[in-house]
Amino acid sequence: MNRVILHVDLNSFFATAEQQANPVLRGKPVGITKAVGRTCIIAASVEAKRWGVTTGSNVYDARKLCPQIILIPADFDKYADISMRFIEICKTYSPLCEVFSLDECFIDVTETEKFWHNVFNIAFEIKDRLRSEVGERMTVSCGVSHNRLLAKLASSQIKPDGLFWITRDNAISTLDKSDLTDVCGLGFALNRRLRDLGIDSFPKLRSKSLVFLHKHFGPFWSKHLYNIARGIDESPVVPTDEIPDAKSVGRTYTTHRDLTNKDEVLQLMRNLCEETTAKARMMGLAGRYVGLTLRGSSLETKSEYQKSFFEENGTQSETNSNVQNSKSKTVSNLGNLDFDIVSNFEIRASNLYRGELSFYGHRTLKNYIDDGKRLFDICLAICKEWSVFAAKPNVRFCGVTLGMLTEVRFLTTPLFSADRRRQDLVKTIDQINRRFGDYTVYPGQLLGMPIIRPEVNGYFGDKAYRLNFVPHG
Amino acid sequence: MASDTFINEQVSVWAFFDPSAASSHIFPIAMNWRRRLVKFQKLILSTTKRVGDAKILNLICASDTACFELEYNSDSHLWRLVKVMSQE
Repeated sequence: MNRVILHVDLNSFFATAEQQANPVLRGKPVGITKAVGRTCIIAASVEAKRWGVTTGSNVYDARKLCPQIILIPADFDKYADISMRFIEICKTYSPLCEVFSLDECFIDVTETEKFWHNVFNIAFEIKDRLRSEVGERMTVSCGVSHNRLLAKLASSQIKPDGLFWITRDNAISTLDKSDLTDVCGLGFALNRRLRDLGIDSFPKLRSKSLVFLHKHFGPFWSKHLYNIARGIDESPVVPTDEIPDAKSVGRTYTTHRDLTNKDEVLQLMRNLCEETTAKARMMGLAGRYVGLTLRGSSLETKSEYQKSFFEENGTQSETNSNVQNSKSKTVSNLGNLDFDIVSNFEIRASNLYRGELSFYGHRTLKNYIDDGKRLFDICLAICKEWSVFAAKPNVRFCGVTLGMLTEVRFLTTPLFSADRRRQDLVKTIDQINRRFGDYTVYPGQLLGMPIIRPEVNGYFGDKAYRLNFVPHG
Repeated sequence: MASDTFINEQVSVWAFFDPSAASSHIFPIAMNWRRRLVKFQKLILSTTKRVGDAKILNLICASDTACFELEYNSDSHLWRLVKVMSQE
């Protein structure tokens, strides 16, 4: 059966939302930064894009391109609410509505388009409803096609406020006019490898046989590339209530300045542990795999420890060159913790990530945990041996992951009274925080620091959590 | 560029409640701020957020001279003027 897929994409979402909220900003180049003083532009308005400012631009570069750009700190509560209302509008046209990200939805209207006579009426109605129900500045680009891949490509053809239809007849010609990275599912890494092989356009990619692609990209990516080049995509539209269960829960944070004090790094780590476990508890999950990532500053400002690290382990160019040169070691002595450890963990201290010093460690436990303090204790044990703390730490990024998840209702009640008391305490704190707001009660270790709170900046790995668990409206 | 002036003061607001409206259910008509009556011409944007159990509505309203961001706490039923944005 010929499917009819509609892809709806909010134009320059964050910037347009700010222009909607403040009429003075309308018609002016606007850049959204994560907070005051941050240097990365996370969204640019249509006017700023005309000057060459793109998402991910540095504020310094953006000011050079467009001196009159107005920088606004992001308001994620506002974006989350508008996003939810946008999703609610999209859901009314078909039960098969997939939330692809904060500002994008795929709607499979194969069975329901007849109620609106055709898919274009649906597209125009969505545009009208957004203007009347959210704000007159909110515009969407719509793409219509017979699969997700081409529907998404269609919506990117005319921006802003466009509507484009890719049929079976014009699919190949539209693909041929597009750049390789314009298509969803063909990222920078694949693009670079294709260009290394002299493939820089869709006609060239289509001219390669499956055998050739298999030889260079393996069994999965060869088929994927072969299909993309021909506009073939059989993937279904997955509605919100069929999102697969989370495999891990985590929280990462990039600081706007280097953390040079060990206590600051530990505070950040504790905060992220609280965030991760709070999210897991809200989803009714507990995990027994703990992962911790720390990244240091760039080589230009590297600390004495980092300098000695490179002197001991190889030159900068060697360590930058490839993944195989990463230094790894296994540590078995992990200190005393009040639960059993199944496996030792591995530390990789390598300079692989854009000239940064990166540390990653993980541990698998016997018992499931969902308590921030316990998670923090394990993270502490993981990073105890890391030399990042030996000298002045220059930490810029921290990430905590809780994996190997199971539902809390499947777990047994703790045997010892101390554990039961701890469990009751966590439950009580959760009740207070749900009643009066996040971090009404929080660990004393976080005193004196700006607390990192939950924020909605996309619906990706934790789509189910964002869409189903957060009370809204 | 016009500047935003953060006020954060409690105000009295006259509002019209319309549960059948598609966009917002609350339409502020006027507010009393520092013994001054400000009449609103238009509701520009309304968003909601939750702080614990309390539902907070953020309403941006335009008068003929400026835009005002109001916050309504549906738990305490209190109105707060968050900021004033000039229209030039």
